Amino acid sequence: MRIAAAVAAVVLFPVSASGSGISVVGHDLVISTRVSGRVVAVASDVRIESEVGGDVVVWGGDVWFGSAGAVAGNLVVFGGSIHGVPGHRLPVRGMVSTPGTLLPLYLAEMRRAPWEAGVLSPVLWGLRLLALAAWLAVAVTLLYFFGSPLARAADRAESDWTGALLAGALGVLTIFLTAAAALTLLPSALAVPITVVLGATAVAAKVFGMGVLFLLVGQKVSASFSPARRPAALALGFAVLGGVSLLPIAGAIVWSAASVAAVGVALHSRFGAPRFRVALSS
Amino acid sequence: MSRCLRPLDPIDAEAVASGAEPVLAPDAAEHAAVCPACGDLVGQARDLDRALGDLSGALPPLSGLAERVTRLRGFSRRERRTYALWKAPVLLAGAIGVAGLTLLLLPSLSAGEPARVGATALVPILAFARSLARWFPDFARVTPYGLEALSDALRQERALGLVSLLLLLPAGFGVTRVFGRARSRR
Repeated sequence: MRIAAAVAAVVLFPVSASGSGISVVGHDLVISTRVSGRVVAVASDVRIESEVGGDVVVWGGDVWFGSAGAVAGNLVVFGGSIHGVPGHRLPVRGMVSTPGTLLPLYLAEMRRAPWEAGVLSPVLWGLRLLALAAWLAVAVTLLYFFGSPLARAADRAESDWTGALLAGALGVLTIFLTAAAALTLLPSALAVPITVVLGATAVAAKVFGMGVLFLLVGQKVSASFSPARRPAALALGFAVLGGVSLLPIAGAIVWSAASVAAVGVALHSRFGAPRFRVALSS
Repeated sequence: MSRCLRPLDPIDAEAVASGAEPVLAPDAAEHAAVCPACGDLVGQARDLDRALGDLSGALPPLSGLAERVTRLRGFSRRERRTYALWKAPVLLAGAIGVAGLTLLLLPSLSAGEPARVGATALVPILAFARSLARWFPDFARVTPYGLEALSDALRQERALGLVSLLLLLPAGFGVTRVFGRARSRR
């Protein structure tokens, strides 16, 4: 979202609004007089210098409070951070929520030029390792309960890599475009459930597909495909991909490519569904 | 009910009967030689092999069939319960998790006094666990509301929606082709 904001021409718009709410896309916003309604900003930073009577919802931007700024409703910031007045509590009467708190860290890392001195803090390394441990735990759980579908999906991906990669690229693109079209053209009552379902499908496909990729890479490296060696192969494949993901620059590229491939592997194999079903009749 | 306290898995019985290496218990052959119950099981597997061989007669076995079945089959109940099979990923996940937590603790460990290192170390772990526990319900509660707000804001940019819709046509066509090809390969 911040990248989209950078691509768009970002113009500082001082807003003097009163009465109803405000919505902006791709423009930074300064609230200098009282707003009684809701404030929504997409790919924009918001500076609150006056009181907002409703909620403030920001997607992909930071929120700054001036000395007279206050929010009577809730403050929700997706993929951004909140900066209050130093030494004062946040002047928000409702709930404060930042569900994408780790995203700015990730984006800051992505924006950093390769030649810049980039020593990651131990905390960030710790978070990365914990995320990797969580990935492996989820993959092992999937393998335990869905061993055969994972094996089938790995087998199918190996037999048609081009199809799986194409399915990944086109699948991710289609999901994004459908969500954008739904959110822009449909009423919220329809757009929100559609987007939630699309998001859940994408997450499920990525999680399942990453498990398949770990398994397939491990099986290829160890040259062993027997069920008894599958857990060890999964660990080996994870060690290879997870190890590469920790490398500077190349790691982010490889992990992103693996994510797209994972979605493709899951969709292409229909989550490892069997090719034929045997109907048993009494 | 088996008379043996450590009955062989049918897969190992079949492996011993056909002279292959056992999958689960490396000493399956030795055990079957001294245990009457497991010896009977191996004998049954051998009889089954013989009967199946008689059925197929002189027809050669399908090439690669056994490898395909082995590659695609699910885990047996015994395989699921055998920790030895699962210990590699479990230990690796544990080791990486412990390493991650240690790195999270480093700043507070270096800042704390030696006498209070234990208590100081607990603070980031508790904070991490608390934020993780709060993140999921927070995300689930806020996301629909945030999407609704996003939808309200984006509805001003109808051109974006129309462009997305136009691009969906070639993307959807491509997806249909890829999945059609995958179906035909099945």
